[in-house]
Amino acid sequence: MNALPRVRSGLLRHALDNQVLVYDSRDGLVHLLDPATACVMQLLEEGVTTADEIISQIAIRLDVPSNAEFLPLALDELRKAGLLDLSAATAPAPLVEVNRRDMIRRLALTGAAAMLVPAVATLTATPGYAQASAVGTLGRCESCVRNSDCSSNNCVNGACDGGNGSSVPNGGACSGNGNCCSNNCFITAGMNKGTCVA
Amino acid sequence: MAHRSGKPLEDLFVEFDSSQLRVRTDAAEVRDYLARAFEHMLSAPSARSIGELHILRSGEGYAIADGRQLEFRGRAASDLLPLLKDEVRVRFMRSRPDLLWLHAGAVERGGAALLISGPSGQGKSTMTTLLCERGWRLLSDDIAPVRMDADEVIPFPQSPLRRVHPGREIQPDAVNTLARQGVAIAASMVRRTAAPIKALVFVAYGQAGGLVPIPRGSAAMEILKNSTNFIDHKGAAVDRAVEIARRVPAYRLSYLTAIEAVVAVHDLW
Repeated sequence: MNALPRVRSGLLRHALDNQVLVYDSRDGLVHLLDPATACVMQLLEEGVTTADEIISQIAIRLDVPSNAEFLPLALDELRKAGLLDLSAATAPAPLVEVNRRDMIRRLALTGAAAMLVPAVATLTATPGYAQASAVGTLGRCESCVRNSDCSSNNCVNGACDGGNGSSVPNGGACSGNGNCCSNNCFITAGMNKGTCVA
Repeated sequence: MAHRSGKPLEDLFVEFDSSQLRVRTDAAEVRDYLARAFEHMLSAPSARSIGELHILRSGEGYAIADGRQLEFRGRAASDLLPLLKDEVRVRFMRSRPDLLWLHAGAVERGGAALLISGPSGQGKSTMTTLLCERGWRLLSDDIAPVRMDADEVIPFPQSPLRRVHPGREIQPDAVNTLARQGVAIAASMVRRTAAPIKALVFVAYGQAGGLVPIPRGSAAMEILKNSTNFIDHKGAAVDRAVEIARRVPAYRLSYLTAIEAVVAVHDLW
């Protein structure tokens, strides 16, 4: 790994114990970074310029064994979460899945896996009840007229589908919670089908 | 919308945080269902109104004043009634975008509130009602409005519905197939004023993990996951979730039997 990537601008961060909650107002996403990935992000923002320095700082700050396998995994998590500046020449290339699994396996062999396997959990702003009042958003379950209105390019019965029939409005038929915009399929005992409710 | 049934309209006044929704219907079953569903939120007419909701019989279903129609289409009327209850609830939620609405039950004891949050089918209502049987007072079932400027939950005490357990072990993904049953809560067991939040519990049915504290970052994320109007607040909701997570202890409750779970929660304070 040569030059290190930059963290994107415009991110609101909250440190909570060792975790960091990041709100990306551009995409309306919330990310929860595990302590180690949060530490990498912090070091990038502090201007650390070499991979070796990041690896040694991680070991010091988190009191874990030094491990070079960790950094590409963490950068890949940050890249997938959209938290790195991909326009820069230093943007990391995506990890191949086989390489990723292999790296995690090797991390596990060091006994540091629990602390050091990078993880970013991401939450998308769900439309919830407010979907009808949202203006200009075209995510799952938002009102639409044509396919091109939706980020999924699939407008079903006036609502953007999130994939596999996941945009059934309240009152519509469903077979599981995942069908419903409300994520709540009310099925009477003994029946296969139910009704989406709020 | 024309009122064609010829039956007189009957009114219900449902109140939340000193504001009223007037529900007008010509269907006795709708009036009766909503009167039960909002038993603890009914009040006499007052001046502070958020509007009216007209629910009229129409064809094979009900029509709502904004032109939408819910139809039976081979389903029992009883399947549609919960949707009408949701309409009432949504009207209040839309009237108060200044609040953070969490998918949570809330109970109070000793002046402090416990929020029990999680996706559908994880046992929120079961826990809420079982705690009420142990002396806690009901603040809300299923949806809990939290102030954006204070760690307080405002009562939204719609009548709880809990799933009827078949008396045998069931798989977590089958929980949502269980029928729901209303649980009567005595008026004296309903808290009528806002209460400060003392703890958050995120429930997960299907594994025996017990009640375990969770890190603050995870708690903030869970709050946001379970907020139904994050889109109203966006960055402010994140700030709010972080503030709550910093001040209020949060736990994950993984359980297999509701009784074990409720004992653990009951002993929080």
